Amino acid sequence: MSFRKRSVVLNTSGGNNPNPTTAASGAPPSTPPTPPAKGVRPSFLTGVPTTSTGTASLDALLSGHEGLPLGSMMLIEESSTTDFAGALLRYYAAEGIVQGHNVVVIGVGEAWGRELPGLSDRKEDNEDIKKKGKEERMKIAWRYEALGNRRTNDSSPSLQMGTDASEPISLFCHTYDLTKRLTIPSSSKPPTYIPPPPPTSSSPFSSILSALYAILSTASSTNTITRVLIPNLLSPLFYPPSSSHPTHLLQFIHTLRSLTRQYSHILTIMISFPLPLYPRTTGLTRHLEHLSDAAIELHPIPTFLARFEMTKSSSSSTSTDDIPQGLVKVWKAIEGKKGTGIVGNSSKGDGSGGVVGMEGGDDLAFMLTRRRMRIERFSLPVDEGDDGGDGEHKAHNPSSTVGEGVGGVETGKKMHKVDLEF
Amino acid sequence: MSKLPTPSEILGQSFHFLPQESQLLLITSVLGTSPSWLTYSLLHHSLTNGENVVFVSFINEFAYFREGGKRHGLDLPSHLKKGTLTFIDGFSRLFLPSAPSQAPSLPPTASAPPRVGVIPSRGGPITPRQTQQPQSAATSTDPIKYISLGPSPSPSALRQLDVIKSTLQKLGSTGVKPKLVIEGLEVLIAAAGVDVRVVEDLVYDLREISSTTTILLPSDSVLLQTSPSSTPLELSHANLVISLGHTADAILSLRLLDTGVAKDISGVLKVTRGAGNLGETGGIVEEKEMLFYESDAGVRIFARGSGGH
Repeated sequence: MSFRKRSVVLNTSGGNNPNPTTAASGAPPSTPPTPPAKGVRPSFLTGVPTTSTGTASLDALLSGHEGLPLGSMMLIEESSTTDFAGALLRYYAAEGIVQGHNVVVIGVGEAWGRELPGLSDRKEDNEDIKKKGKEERMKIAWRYEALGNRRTNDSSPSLQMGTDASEPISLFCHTYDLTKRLTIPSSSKPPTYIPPPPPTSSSPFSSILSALYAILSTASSTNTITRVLIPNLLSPLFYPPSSSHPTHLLQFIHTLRSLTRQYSHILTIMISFPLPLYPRTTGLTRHLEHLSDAAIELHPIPTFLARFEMTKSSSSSTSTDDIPQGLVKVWKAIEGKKGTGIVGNSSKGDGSGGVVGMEGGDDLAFMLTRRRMRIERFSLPVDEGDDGGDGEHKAHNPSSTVGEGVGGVETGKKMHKVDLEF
Repeated sequence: MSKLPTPSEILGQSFHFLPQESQLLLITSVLGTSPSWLTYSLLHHSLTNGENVVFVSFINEFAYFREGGKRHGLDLPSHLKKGTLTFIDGFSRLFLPSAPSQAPSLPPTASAPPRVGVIPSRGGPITPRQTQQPQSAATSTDPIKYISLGPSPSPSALRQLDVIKSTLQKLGSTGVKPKLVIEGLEVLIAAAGVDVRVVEDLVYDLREISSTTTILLPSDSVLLQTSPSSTPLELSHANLVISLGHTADAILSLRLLDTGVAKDISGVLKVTRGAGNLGETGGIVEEKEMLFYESDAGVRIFARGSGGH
């Protein structure tokens, strides 16, 4: 669908333009090189080159792009002292290393990089995710799924072979196992670390920026895809107090934003930001969100876990994978196409539907298991709540064990149902 | 081509009374709504009517608008070439060390020099040269002008902003004052640490030499509602938005739907009459609230309850 629309626009602008070379000369040479770099594929939505965040379900959330468009900056906020955002960032870094990208980690030491998750060797993980993703997308927007298949096959013809021969190099997004540690393949560069600002500095971010300029100008000359990570921006553990001054921080972020545009053919940035220290009710955080291209918040809710632990003990069929640990809120979605101002909406037909930038649209949840992190529609706990009610009923029921067993099966059915109904 | 509502559809018939001296149109938006389509609508109207437009952005580069405009059938590069549109880019190099005008249209190479250490005093001596340079460069090769305050903006670096003024004056010297669109003024206050009064003065100065000034600002409640615990960041932003709101002739505000998420509604567009002088000249902005929906097919505005079909 987006195909047709786009071609119409192109034709029209060509027709309107008395002299088509104007537009051609005004436009910079299109960024995707003929053989796309490893780990880069065109967006399913608009065709802009995208790269994976390392988390398949997060890719699926990005306004139908199915990947993080190059030249964008993503902000992951975490409203608790937990480190779920750190997991997302580590996947993002690990994916970069596996794909041979340039990975730059700002502010934290090398110890951070030692905990990158290793590639999962469980075959079923890959297949499971692919199957599941396919199933869901088939239900939700079959036409995009078809498009996706074609694109995937185009960009990586060896995909099938790759998974079969357990050689996942050609995958766009790999599956990682948090219980493992990533061994950096010989073909990849180890991450570059930029130290946090010195404690006494009048312009705390200038040293980071000048290091970044140097890295980017070399990466740009070799056309190496670069991923910049800033874990726990402004965390007092790493950053001096002066860095949280609005002019310093926002200048830094503004400069990063302009760098993503300048190096839009190679650069993506992912930042995690602790909300307990800088709540969303402050202007600072809001400016930060305005300057990012996408902003999501991870909002851990420990009670989900507790509730699920309870139900788990009664019905062993509930897999730990289905326990949400919190909600995901999308405050700002990546724009559907550069410059349109259109964020993902129902027409994209995927999970980004309804949650886009909508305050109160809490229908995504994240699940971090020992092995991987997923973001999914948040519909189960409602059922669980009902179930809890049932459980109380059952407490009065003399045949409680049987009742619970049935309840467990019902839960399974319900889950399935919820999965089906979009 | 995707369709956009025209300004007169948005503002009512009174829009035709707008092109007068020093009108001010304020467009506010919150996180999650993008006011770009309003910009395209206004640009489209002005540019197709052959008016000169000066477009200043502190938060987006020209490529962003080029792509977006293309989608809405607005060929900004050709207008840029014709000279009816002047784009002043206060985004790409705002805090980069002032780079002389070398290959500005080739982004990858443009930031090669910034490796040079950051010297605060650098802004001083370079400022006068810089104010001249973008102009001369602009007239010769690059139609896009750049504003660069340098890595640590000093008060003297603010003279960089004069490029807006000189551009307007140059265009206005032909007799017809150009229109002005400014996006991202909040960056000057929040990130560059410019005093809000300086920005307000700048706006007043610019209004004098332009016909209609359109200013786009974020208006999240977080940024506007001040409390005793508010920091200067929020206070000065609120100050700017509210004072501009009080002088504006019309205010267009975009916000999300209060009731939550809807599949076929992107948000609410509210048109408010400002305290400006529009009423004296015959036009009255009709105050109304509409829903808008951005889709692949463009943007549609419709009344509440009309379903938008």
